[in-house]
Amino acid sequence: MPKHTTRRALATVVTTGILLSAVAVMGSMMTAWSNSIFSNEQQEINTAYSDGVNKLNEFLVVENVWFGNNPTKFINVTTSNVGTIGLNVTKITLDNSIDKTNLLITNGGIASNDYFSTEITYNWTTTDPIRIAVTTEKGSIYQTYVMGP
Amino acid sequence: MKQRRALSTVVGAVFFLIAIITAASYLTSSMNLFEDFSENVIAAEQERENRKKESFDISRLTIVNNKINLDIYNSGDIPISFSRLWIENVTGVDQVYRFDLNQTVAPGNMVEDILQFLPFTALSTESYKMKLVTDRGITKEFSVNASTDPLNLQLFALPEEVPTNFKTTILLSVTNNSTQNTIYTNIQPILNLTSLGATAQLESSMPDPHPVLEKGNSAIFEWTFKISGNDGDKIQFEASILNGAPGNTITKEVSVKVVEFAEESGSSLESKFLTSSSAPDNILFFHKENFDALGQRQMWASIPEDNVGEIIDFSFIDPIFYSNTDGNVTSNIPAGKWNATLRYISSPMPPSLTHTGNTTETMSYHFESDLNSPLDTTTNTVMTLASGSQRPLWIPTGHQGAGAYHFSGNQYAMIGINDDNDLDASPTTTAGWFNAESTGPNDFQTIFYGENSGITDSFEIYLNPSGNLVFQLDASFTSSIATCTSAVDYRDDTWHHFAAVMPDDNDCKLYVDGVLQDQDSNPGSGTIVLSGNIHIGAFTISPLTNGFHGMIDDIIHWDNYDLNESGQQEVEDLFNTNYGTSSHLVDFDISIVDEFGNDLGASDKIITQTLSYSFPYSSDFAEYSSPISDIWGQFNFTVITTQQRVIDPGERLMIQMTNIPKSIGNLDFKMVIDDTDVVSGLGSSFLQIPFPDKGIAGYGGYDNSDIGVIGIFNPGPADNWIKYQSRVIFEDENSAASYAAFIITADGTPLGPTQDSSVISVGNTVAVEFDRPRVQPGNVSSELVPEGRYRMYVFLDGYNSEGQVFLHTNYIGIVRVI
Repeated sequence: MPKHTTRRALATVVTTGILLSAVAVMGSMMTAWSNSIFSNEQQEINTAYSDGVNKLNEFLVVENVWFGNNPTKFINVTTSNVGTIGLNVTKITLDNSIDKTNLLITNGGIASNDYFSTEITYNWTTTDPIRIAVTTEKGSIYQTYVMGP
Repeated sequence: MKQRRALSTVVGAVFFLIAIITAASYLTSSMNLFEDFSENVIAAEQERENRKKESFDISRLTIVNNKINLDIYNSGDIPISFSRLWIENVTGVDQVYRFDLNQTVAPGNMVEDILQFLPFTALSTESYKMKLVTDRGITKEFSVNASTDPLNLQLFALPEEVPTNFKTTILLSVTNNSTQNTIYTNIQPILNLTSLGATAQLESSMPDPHPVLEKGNSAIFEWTFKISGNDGDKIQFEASILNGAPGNTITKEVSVKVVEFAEESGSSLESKFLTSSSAPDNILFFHKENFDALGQRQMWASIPEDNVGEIIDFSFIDPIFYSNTDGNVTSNIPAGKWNATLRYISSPMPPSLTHTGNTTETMSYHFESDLNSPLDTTTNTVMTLASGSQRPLWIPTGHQGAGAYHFSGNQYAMIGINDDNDLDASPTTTAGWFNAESTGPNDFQTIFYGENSGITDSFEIYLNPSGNLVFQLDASFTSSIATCTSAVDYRDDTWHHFAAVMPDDNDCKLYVDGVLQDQDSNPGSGTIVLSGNIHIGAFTISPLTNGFHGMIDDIIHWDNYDLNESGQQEVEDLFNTNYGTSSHLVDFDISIVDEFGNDLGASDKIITQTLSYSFPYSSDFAEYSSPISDIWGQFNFTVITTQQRVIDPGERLMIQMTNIPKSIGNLDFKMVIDDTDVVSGLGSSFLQIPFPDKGIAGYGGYDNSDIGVIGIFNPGPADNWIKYQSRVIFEDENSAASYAAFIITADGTPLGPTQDSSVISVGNTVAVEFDRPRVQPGNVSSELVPEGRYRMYVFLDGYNSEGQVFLHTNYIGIVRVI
């Protein structure tokens, strides 16, 4: 009986050790996995949050539009950033309901309280209203209507 | 078993702890994000709200010495920072300039000469388009020296027909009806003359450019010319705007209608049919006569006949004016602008505060216009503004939208002290409106201050360093100083009304916004007696101390009356009285009615039925009780019809004005009509309509079965006689066939080859009779003038008391022969 008792004690210890190790390993894996899930989720939320807040604080106005003639007809568009963060103008669209002209902007970064001005060759008339739409990198679109002098 | 359970518990607890910490950190992070997001949303929303609150007006724009003088008034609720100005030279090609400004102006304040230091040369001959940009991205565009859109131009000649060497007044009305919301500045009129036989000599100075023309507003330019020429000669006036839109011009012809002799006198007689002379067909003057006008008053194209007009008190009468009927003529009135010009004067007080004798107000300033010496409507006292940089700035859109003076801490005005404001006996009341700036100093700010010659007595209304309003009386006969103090800090950029009452010697009561704030009674009798000057906006003026920061308006003083002494709510009534742009409310009904004045029930017979139209207080120029001279304010009610209106045979044009008295703080008003003494502005009250193709039926009528009667008025400067051969002429409106008749009596005296009229004294009107008009005057066998519509003229031959002769032809207007 004592001998039998000694064997059972050893088995119990070993078994316990194995079980504990297995539980520890599985637990650690699950913890690492859940942390990873949480971390990814948090990163996505942070990214979405940043995008949303930046878009919220983005505010652009088409400050002035003037029509030039020399050497060819053009339109000068000046936009200013009156928001609290910098933004990036990526596209300016001129639409007179007949033709649409898209101008892709590569250097349209505007710091807060700064402005961006560009000249677009365009055969404007004094009779057709023109919709001017300014698109930012974050997808916001600001537009105004003008007519040639 | 106990050991295994313990280990399991520890392991489980560790994992549980990790799970809790992970979840908690995730939750905390999310909450932080949410809080941060909320703050961003609030900040963005606040910024959008601020953009909505931003508002500014261009108060003045002139060009002097090639520099632009631009004044801007912050009419919003928040400070505005102007960041940029764009200038486009419209006269040139591709000349666009951009300037950084960085100029900030507080709410209710004005920044002057904002562009003085720009490196830009402005020429009055070139036109510019400018755009102001604020740091919040709000822009306001305005045009300088030009009108890029056609503006509504109207040109009047008063009169259109003159004797040679007589004067006519040319009025150009420019209305900004731009469809692009553009504000035009520095509008400069151009008047070109083309002689069609006659010549014109400018007798007045050239009108100044109009500084700012907001959308919907009108500017009026006036010239006076002396017209010379032979009978029938004309001169054409063509008016336009400097650098205006191509083709945006308007013309008007003035004719000479008198043959002048070398010895013509400077005297003249004005002939009037039914005591009236013609006005243009689109100007229907309001007349006091009521015959044939359904018991109401006449309205027709004839100018007032004399200086005995009628003053209509709107507290008793809601006047109705009718044109006459004509059973044969249809008048087509094209689409366009209808304008009722009312010459009126407001009551200085609502009925509840209207007193007589020594309980009436003794000093009253409303600052309706900017004058170095603002007018006291009681005419009892004289206010003088300081000069130079210490002159208060007049704000046209001050309290209740009307004029007020702004003090920036270093400005003041003075009122000379006399028996009407010296507070030499109780009770007294001093009231007014103030608007203290929230950015004002934590110091004393004086609104109203007076003292005696020994500076032992004083009377002061001021803000203390905490912004509380204080009314203090310091009389030398006692050591007690009566002091009334409010509990509220009024430095809030908001208008507040004060009423400082001295009910008895050395006692005070202070009301703010109609509510009693504090009172203080002290024993003893004896008064303070002010001398020298009352200071407005400062305590002492040399050096200036305790300067006020804000606006002051509507200072009214009773030197012998406590407003609430009889328990009335007079202070509250005064607080509720509007001395601004909405003093009066009137319903305007302009429509075409049948011959009996009945509504025709068709929408195309209605020009307007406008309810409760407000118009401003006007009483700066005289006392209400005795309007004896040309003191009348002017208000234009305008409505635009988009389709023509037709007055069919037998119909009348009607205008009805119905006063809508306010239940509290109502101000009555009176309108003057039919008075030649009203010469300022556009003259007496009238309705102007789009020019009809046929003149609207008037009240001049002649029955060809009998002799006719006309009135002749002698405006001076000499007494006159008229001679035999003076006559009347009727010219058929359609065929131009003419008929004439001699004048046979004047003031009852027969005229003949050997007998002139009796003397027609200066300022008198006499009735003259004329024979029945015929193709050949005096020949009873020639054709009598038939029934119809005629242009009627009167030809007067005579001489004056200085022995000089005159020949004079007057156009009377459209006359019906029945």
